[in-house]
Amino acid sequence: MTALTLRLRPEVDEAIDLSGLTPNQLLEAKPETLARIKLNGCAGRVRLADAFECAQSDASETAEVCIEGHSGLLNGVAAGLEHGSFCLRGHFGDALARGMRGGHVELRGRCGDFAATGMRGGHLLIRGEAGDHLGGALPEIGAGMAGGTVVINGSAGHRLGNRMRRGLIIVNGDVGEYLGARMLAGTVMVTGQVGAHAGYNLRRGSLWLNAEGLEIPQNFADCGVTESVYSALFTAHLKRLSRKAAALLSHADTIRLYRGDLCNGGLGELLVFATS
Amino acid sequence: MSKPARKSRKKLNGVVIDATFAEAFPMKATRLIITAHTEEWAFNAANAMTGFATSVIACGCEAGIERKLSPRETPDGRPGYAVLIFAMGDNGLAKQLQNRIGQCVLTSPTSACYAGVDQTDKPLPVGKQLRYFGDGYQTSKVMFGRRFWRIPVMDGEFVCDEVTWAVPAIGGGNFLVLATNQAAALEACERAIKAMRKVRDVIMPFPGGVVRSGSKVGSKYAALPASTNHRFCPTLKGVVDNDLEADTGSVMEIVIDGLSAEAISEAMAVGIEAACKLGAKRGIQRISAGNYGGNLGPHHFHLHEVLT
Repeated sequence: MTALTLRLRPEVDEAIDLSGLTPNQLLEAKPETLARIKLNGCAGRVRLADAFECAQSDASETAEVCIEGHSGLLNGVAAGLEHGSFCLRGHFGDALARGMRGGHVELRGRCGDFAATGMRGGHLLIRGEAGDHLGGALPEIGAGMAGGTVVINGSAGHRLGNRMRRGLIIVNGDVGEYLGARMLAGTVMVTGQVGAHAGYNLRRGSLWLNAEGLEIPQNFADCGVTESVYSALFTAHLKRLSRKAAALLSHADTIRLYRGDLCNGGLGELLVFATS
Repeated sequence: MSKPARKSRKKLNGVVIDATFAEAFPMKATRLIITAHTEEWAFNAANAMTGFATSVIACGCEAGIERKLSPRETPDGRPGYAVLIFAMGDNGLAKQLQNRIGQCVLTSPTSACYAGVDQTDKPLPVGKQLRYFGDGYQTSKVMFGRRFWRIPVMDGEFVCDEVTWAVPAIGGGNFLVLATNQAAALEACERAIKAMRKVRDVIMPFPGGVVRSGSKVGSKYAALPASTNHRFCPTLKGVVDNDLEADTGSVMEIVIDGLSAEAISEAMAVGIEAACKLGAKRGIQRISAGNYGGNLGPHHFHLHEVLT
């Protein structure tokens, strides 16, 4: 199978928007066509060959496109992706996997803000840190992530899951303020510390949070320790996505349920797990 | 029911195997996995759910416990039971599921209910209907590519799959055990059922797996769709043309519903072999089967063939 590697040239110093580029489009293009693909840069349109060093290999076990970035200059990578897979290395910019509908994206590095905003399907794995507004709302739609899974093996910024409607986000690290704010549904699990105002104005949805250092917001009602079958199913589900998160949950001594935000119907839940 | 052929008889441990066949018909079925905090409570839910489900004639479906499941085999890691439910069509199956899960599983302490078959193009609502019991407090979660419903109940939460799936199935596989007396017939059937319960994808829907009131289609009373199979009733031997030996004192039947012809054949084979182990010396005379001359259903299980 064919594999394609696009390496951002070290001399490039302007932000480039890669939204709309799909793995299939890149893999099927002939070298001369590939080189001529026009990209949107800050200073105008740039040819792909001018921004990237391209290397094709026909001996790969999987058909995938690898993109190596630096300095957070590549924005909108995998935006709107429906099929195929991207393997990303380095420091990427904003709007990674924005509006993604399917396929698989793995980032070995970190990314900027607005990753997975408006995401509707597929799987995004970030083996590093992510910025603010991950899985949040798109300004033009007003609703956040509506499907798919995001796993972050690092920390994430503020307003993660803002206005989220469906899907699952797992953060194997810390998260900033306003986690799951105004969430409509969906599930977020954070294994590390959580900033202030978690679940602010939460309408529905589930936030799995580590009890360590957690301040329960005032607008949540303590419903006691839960022995939910859902916990067992969720743990089994996690095993396929994040062994670390699954192990943490399966070794939890207690899982305490808080309902809220009481100012917004109180049908959301904080599931707070404590391990000794 | 047609008279079994008496020629080309085969014997097993002295027990005659008639050269006849069991006639079975297409059904629709699904499997559910019912779990609970303990095996006992999983059994209570599964047993209640499969109650009053011996025959589609009057029960609306045929159902039974297929097998016990270890915690490793269930989605939530708790003890459980697999149950199979059979009906004549998708709509009938859906209605029975809704009623039975709603009244017998949802109500049973600590229970949960999951789909136990692979996806087909015929979804049958489970949580999709039952969720309304949650009165707006219910929530759904998508895990393993499936949607689950969580319904708040007084002991915590009832969790179930949104749907299960209808699969093609076969109902009405059977064989008859003819013996000199009731005790021998019953013991042979008990041995057969014990062996047959190890076979996957089948249930024996009657009480304890055995039916003593085998029926024929129709009746002298116009309102009845089925009536006693008089040709196999020992107390009518002297009155009607019959299929019994002169000293036959009791006949019992084992009915088998399965998800495939292969599963029913296997169950019939192990059941007949187990029944025949009791032997002619202990009163087992013949193994026969119920059929309607081939007019009822397309699936014919010839006794001699299933035993080869």
